[in-house]
Amino acid sequence: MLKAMFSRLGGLIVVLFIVSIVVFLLLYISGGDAALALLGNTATPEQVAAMRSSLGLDRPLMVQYGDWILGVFHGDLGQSFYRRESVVEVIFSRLEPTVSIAIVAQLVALCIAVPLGIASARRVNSTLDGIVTTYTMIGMATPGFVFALLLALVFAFQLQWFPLSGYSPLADGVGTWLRFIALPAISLGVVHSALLTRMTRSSMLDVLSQDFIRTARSKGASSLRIVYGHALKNAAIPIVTLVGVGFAVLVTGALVTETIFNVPGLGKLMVESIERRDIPVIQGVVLLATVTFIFINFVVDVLYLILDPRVRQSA
Amino acid sequence: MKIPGKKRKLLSCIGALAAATLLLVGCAPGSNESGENGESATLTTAVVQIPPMLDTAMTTYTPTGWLMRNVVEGLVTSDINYNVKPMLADSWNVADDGLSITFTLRQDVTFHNGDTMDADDVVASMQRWTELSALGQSAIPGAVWEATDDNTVVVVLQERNSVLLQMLASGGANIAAIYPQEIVEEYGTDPIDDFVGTGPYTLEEYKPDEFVKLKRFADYSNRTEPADGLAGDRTPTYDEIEFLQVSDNQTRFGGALTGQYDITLASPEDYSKIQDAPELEPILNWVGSLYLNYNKKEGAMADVAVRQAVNTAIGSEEIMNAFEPSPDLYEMRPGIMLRSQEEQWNSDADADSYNVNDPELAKQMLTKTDYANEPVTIMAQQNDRSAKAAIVIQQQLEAAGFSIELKVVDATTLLKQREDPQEWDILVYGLNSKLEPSAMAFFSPDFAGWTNDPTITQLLKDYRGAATYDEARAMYPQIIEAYAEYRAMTKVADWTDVIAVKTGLESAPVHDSQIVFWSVPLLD
Amino acid sequence: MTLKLNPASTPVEPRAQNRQLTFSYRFLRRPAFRVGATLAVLLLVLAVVIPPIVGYDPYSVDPSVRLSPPSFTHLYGTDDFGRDLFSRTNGGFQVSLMIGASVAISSAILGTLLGALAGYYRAVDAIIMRICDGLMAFPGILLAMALVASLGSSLVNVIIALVIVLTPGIARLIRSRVLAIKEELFIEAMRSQGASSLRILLRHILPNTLNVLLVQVAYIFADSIMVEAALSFLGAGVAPPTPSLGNILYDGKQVFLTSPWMVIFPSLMLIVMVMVVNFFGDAVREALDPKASRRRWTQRSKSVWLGRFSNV
Repeated sequence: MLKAMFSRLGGLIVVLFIVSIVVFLLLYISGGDAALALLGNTATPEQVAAMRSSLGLDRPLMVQYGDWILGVFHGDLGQSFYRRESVVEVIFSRLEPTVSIAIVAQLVALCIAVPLGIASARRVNSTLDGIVTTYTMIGMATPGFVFALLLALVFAFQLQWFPLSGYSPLADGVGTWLRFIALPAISLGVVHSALLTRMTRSSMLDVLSQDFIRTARSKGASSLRIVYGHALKNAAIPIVTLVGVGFAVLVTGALVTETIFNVPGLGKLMVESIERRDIPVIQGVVLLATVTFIFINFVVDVLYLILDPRVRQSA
Repeated sequence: MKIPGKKRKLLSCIGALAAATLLLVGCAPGSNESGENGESATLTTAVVQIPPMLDTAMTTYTPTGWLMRNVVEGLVTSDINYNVKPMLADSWNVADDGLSITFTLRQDVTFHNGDTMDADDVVASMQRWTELSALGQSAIPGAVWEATDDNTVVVVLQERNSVLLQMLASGGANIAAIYPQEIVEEYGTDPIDDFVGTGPYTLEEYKPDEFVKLKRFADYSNRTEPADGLAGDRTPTYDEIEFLQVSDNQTRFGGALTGQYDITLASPEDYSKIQDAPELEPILNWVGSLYLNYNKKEGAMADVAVRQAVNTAIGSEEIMNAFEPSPDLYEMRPGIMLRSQEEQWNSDADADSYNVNDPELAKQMLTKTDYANEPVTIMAQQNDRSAKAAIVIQQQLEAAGFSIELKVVDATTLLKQREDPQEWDILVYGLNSKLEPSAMAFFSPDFAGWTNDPTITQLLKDYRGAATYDEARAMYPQIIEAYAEYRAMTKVADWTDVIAVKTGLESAPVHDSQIVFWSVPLLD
Repeated sequence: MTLKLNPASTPVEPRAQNRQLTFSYRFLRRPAFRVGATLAVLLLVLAVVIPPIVGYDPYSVDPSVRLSPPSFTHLYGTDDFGRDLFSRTNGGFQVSLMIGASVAISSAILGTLLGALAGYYRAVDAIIMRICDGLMAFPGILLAMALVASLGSSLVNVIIALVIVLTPGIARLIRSRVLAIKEELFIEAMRSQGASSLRILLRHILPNTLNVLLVQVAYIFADSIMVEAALSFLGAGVAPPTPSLGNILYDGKQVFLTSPWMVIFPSLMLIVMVMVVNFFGDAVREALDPKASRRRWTQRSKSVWLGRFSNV
């Protein structure tokens, strides 16, 4: 079993290579390069050529890519074309807002989804269930940015309960920090909770109807014990999966919410860097995101193993 | 049967969220105040982008200019009527043959690091500017700067340039900033990162893509003449100025409306809302003009007759009206300079060919050319007013018998594709105003559009080589005439940027394409 | 009490003659289908039947009425060019529909091809799956953005980008189905009778993957609509003046605080559209395997859900 997992990990490293090549190629194929973005729109061709040379953009593609990969093995992700800082520094300085929002959003999603999912599973086809189902259907169809815009309009602009833009680091005070990330986190969290609620509900439903639950009930175990003792543990598997997937989704959702709320995080960094063809930064962030995603999946796989003996058996 | 456990869990979650919300709202510190009690007055300005490079010699980006002109200064500057006025040079003398200019420098000017400015600093900075900047290269290629004594600098030119001083006075792109000699030598051809200047503010903190913080320079060596445009007295009113990058238009404007920012670079769409809002006032900033740029190297537009046909079909009113919410925000006038520059540059030589708006006539003109209905590519930048104009231009040209393909691309791609004559025929683009006409980008044969007309080339040569500035100015009508005959470009209209300021700040002066930040009045 | 140990979800049946009938019967009776169908009809009437009657052109510019709120002449109001928002939203609906359909069909075909090849022929399995893993490990919308940035923002390129991003999910799903089916005894039987691989693949394996495929196709349809909207919202999608729900939202975002109708109506249309497709997807899934679908949640959750973007 462990052997299978490690071989999979090995395969994933190959995957990372492929991903990095894909990004590299894509952005070079696209029109425009970083030198132009830096020099403004009335620069002379000589200036542009000089800048390209100083950025190393005039070397052959293979050399540029090889250089970068070698650097990665030394923990050096290169230098941002745009900001002339090391990519590692740039990413590090924008990490906190995105992670803060992702964590709080995930908490918000769980706080909504788990109780709602359980409640509607226990009362299948009741009015509550109908309401919850409607909620999930609408929630899953609503793009994150629409909800974010709505929240911005009502709570930041009209009521002015929250600021419309910006970010305050945790070190500067928890209260202010929460104020600034509240709207982005809530918008992401609520939208994600729709899917999570649905998952919770169906997995609870699934488990509640299974034989061993009926057996426990017929043995006289109380509903409470059933829900928490047996059902939740088994329903936890897909929920754990979704929390794992959820992180990926949330980091992706960061792209739009950070743009709307002007949060200086990784999402906004990505959007800006793509616009400016700041390839080292894009590659660095993509690498980070992919590694995180793979790592989380790995953790989920492990948890899967621990929680579900059936999977262990079939592996 | 109730499950208290599950319900409790639900309620506790809701309770926690509610408590958190109340906590947050309760902790609201309120909108950003700008030091009314005079202790430390901070001016907060929201801009679209904090430039990636602040070295004015290396980048042609105008925001770099108007941001850095608070920190660095040049030899000369301009007053409200665009007359050249002294700055770090007290006086200058142009030699009779026009091939050298002697600058007498001010004495006792202090840099931000405490050093006193002398001729060596000027020579090093100006030589670097001449060699590295686009403006320097086009203005005085091959020029040599020398110090004749501690306070005198001479520049020896290869050719006359009657409008050199105008160029040196630029407060926008490619400011000819003076740095200490050590800094210039340290950075050489690399972009400068350590901004030691002579200006009223020091650069406190700079994070590209996020903010720039300026702080009042206590030992600023001020000029004594009254403030006039960018010239004269530059005593700063605010102790600190913060420029914050807020790239999303609505977020930025929302911040203006909620009082988060004192000054906000808004978009034309917000103009009427600014006028309606009691706590905001609009300031109009005439930045330049919207042009149709023709590909004169290849393709359908390489034929001047076809260009004239396009020019005839263009109706400026309809175009500008389509995206500008108010006629306050644009002005339809011929020529290539702004109304605020009228005192220096004035001509109606192309009035007849401006805003002709006659598609029928254009159609007739078109039939006399070799144009055989091949698709003409109009290119514009996504996410910009010019893209909106391009949509209307497409309709106008189609009504005149052209077959049009509209290509809207993002900013970076546009910059690249602009250099390739196979990618576009007409570029709908805004160009910033310049302090004198020959600096207009489209007169340079290298600039996308590839102007290549012997008459214009000769005229510009004579213009630059004129004996005096006034003689050069007198040639403006001829230049415009040649420009119109060759149909280098078609201007649609002059246009403004809209700045939203808190009520009380509307008297902030605007000059050379941006607010003069050191003179912004205090809020009371 | 026995627990099912074999993770293969759907029991594989040889093709039955009246299977189709049973499926349709079950499908049509689903409440999910009924709600979805009602909404779909409403949408189609609104977006396809009414506009020709009302007669506004989504492209014609009329600056004198720019950014006017909803009224009797302009049901949804007008946009920043004075174009009628009702017709533009409907135009966007049609474009989004087309994008969704194109992406769903293309990725279904491509994904099935790749997945079947990978499942059946071990030789190509490793290569195909590595590439798919690579594409899937990549945060989807970033890949889409980068693709559109390279290829340019035409309608076709957006479709291509979305197909590239969404195909691997289907390929993986089909592959695991093919692998599961391959193990079934009756395939062995056929092979020993001398049936060719291709014949087995086409006549027996693939039809049994249809159920899974159909469900995924519905979700991909919904996902591509949402991702296109997000792409255009970030400025990396369909370029103007062609209306798409995403780029109307993009323009609307610029004036959102003061003219919110430009965001509200396309959003509503987007939400209803995606809901309808989701309803259909659910109905298909429930109709096909009412029992097995439950089991799928606990054991196959990860691969099923990883094939989806979820919300962006």
